[in-house]
Amino acid sequence: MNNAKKIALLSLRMIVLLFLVSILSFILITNAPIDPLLSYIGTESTLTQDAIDQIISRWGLNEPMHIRYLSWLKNVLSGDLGTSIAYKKPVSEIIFQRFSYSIVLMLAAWILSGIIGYFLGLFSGIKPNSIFDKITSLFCIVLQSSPSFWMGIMMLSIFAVKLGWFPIGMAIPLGKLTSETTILDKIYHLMLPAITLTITNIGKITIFTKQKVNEVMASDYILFAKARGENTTQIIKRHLMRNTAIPAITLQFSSFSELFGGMALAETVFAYPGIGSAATTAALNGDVPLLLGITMISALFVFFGNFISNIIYGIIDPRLKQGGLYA
Amino acid sequence: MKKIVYMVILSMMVIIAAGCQSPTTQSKNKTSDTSNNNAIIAYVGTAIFDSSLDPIKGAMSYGYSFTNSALIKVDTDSNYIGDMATEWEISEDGLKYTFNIRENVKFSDGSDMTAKDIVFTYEQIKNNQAENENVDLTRLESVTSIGDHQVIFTLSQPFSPFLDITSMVGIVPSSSYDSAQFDYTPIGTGPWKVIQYYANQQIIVEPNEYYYDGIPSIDRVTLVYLNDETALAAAKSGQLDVVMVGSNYSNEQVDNMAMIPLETMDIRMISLPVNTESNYNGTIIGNNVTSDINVRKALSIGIDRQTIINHALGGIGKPATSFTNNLIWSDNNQFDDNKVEEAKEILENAGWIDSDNDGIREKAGIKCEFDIYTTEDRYPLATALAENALELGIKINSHSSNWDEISSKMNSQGVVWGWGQFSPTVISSLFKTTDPDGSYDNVVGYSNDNVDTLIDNALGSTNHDDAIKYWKEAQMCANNDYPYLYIVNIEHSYFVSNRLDISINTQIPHPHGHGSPIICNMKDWTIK
Repeated sequence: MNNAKKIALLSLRMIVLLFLVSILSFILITNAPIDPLLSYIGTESTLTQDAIDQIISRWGLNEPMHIRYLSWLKNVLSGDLGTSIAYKKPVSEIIFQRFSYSIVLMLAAWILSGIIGYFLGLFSGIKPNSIFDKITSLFCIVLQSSPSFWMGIMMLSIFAVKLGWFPIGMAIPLGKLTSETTILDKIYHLMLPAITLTITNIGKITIFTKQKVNEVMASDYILFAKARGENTTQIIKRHLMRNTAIPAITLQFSSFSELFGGMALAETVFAYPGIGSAATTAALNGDVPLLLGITMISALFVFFGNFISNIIYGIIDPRLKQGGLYA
Repeated sequence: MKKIVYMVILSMMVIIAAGCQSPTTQSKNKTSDTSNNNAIIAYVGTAIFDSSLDPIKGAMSYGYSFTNSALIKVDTDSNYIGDMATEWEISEDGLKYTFNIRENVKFSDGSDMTAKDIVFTYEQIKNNQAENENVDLTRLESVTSIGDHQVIFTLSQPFSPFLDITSMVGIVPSSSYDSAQFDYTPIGTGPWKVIQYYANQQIIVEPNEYYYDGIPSIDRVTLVYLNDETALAAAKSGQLDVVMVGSNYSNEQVDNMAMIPLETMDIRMISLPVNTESNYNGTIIGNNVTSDINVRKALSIGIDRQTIINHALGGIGKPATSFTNNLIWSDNNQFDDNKVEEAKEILENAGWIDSDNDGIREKAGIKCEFDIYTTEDRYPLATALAENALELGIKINSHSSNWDEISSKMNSQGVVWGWGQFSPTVISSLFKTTDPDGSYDNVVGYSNDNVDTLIDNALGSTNHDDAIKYWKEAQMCANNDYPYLYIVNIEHSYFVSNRLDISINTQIPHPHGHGSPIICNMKDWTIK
């Protein structure tokens, strides 16, 4: 198969995926027990019926479901994601604002937890039952079983409130204009939420890698390598990393979508202005355009995450390249 | 392997660079250099961030706008006084409202405000009514200007609450109105202008140097978006000057800050269906227990509101038996409660007797028992009431729920409501006869010809004083039947830094607004 064909197939797959996701989420939100009109005007409103009717027709709230969906689809195809009912602002604007913050935090936490978690697992797996191994295992089990919002509150109260090392929340300094803010300010504000998300995501990958290392270490070819006189560094480089990296990367990419869940919690605790809080607002207010927009972007994000992992497989293990881009 | 490491590093850098260009909206106005000593940071809830700041889309219509002033405003006694208008007149037939416009007022961009801008603002809302859920201009037929300093509104029918509407609409400039820009940095004639807007993080405002009524003395105010717990934590580490807190946190101690409760017009009441149970188009409406006026009256005089407030709200708030007296149209029907013996006597005379000694009264085989549905935030109030009502032999089952379920129960069971607005139209919503068609008006099914006539008279009155008189009479008349059980006039609690004076004397009574109304007089705040 040539590359053009592959790319065409890939795009087709993406379009089908997005289409199905949009239909499913549309059905879910329109059937949710939330009245968008009610959340728009509030229960304690004294609007006349005339004004209410204008609102209903402006937002198309009483049209049949398939008509609403089709008109949404038509607008999206022409590049217009619509206007959020809850925020009264264009959906694309809200998503762009929020996503630019979320993506930094998510990827920072995801990459850090992947790298640190992998090496922790590697080193504790080489010397099973050493003190390092025991401490790491205990640490991971505690982290795996503690909810991330609790972790966030602990981190916040220790490092921000008690010690004052980090800011209490937000992605920018309090009371400062953009012109008065530096990139260091932004990194400084990113650190505590990123560390928290990293810590909460690290347990799984560490335990998993350790398990894999144990398996490999017990294999015949390691025994043979030792017999050949290879030292630990050589064994790690030549055998362990090659054989444990792929499962670790697979696991880390499969947790790509879980990041969104952790994000929403971290955003709440650290008042970080990401996509999670916008998604919550959209869902609670029956804001169909915004929720669909966020779902689309998230689906794209996860899709490309999996796509990248396939490319990386190929780089690590050239045998997989034969199977094609989207093996 | 090296390739992966490079890719990872490279992607990290790209991501961080992308994040650093996060979009913010900065107004074109030049900002003055400010020393931090004369700047404050405040957390007043998140309501300000939830929607647009554009008055055309209903922003800040509860009477505490800081960027866009309206034609008139309320003073500390809830009377209307001129703001962008200096005086106004209502025609004999109640159809024409003539406003004389204040001269020499400038917008924050330096341009002059004239009658044209007012006409533009109202026409813009009327043409985009669906974008504005707070200001209802469907009864406005036309608005015209005469010269630069007079505006005439013509209504399609007499509607006295139109005056309230003119206090809710912030004026925007006709020449530079831009729907997208005004979501974040509106241009107005108010005391403040938005310098920078960070979505869901902070709004930074500085004084409008063209403000007509004295430029604020604080150089910069930052309104931040946090949650209640994080805000309190930030206050404890000394980073905030004003923090709104829920009543459950009002007993906390914060260094260098004082706890200040502020007066509101916000009340909590329970609707009690007044008709017996029946089937209306397939849904059950009415309630066989609350339909007995004796039960409703016994509850109203027999419960101990102060105890309920102590249990549910940590003692913050005042007992209420009617709308608050800081509303000029309130009948202010205050009476003593906790008359347990009298309440018991009423119930017994009406035939509600506890014959099986389970603590709950019965009458003709029916237990004196009903449900109250409420959203989670008001649930403590419902349970505290239930506990109190048990002493009278009335059993209330309180349920924490969502509005979807509440809607299905509101015509047959009790519901906790919150009201707090300057406009008396709430009286019409509460008491005027309507069909139980699923709307939130008059869910108790109250119907009284006399009250209906009084409400019609109030809506159709051609002058403000008559309207108020009719509104009061309508309430008095309806409250004799106790269709609603008034419980509490809540208070908004804030921690305020000792270095800041929030000018309590010029605070208007706070409307329903989750803490934001404290900024109503921000122009009068000073650093000590």
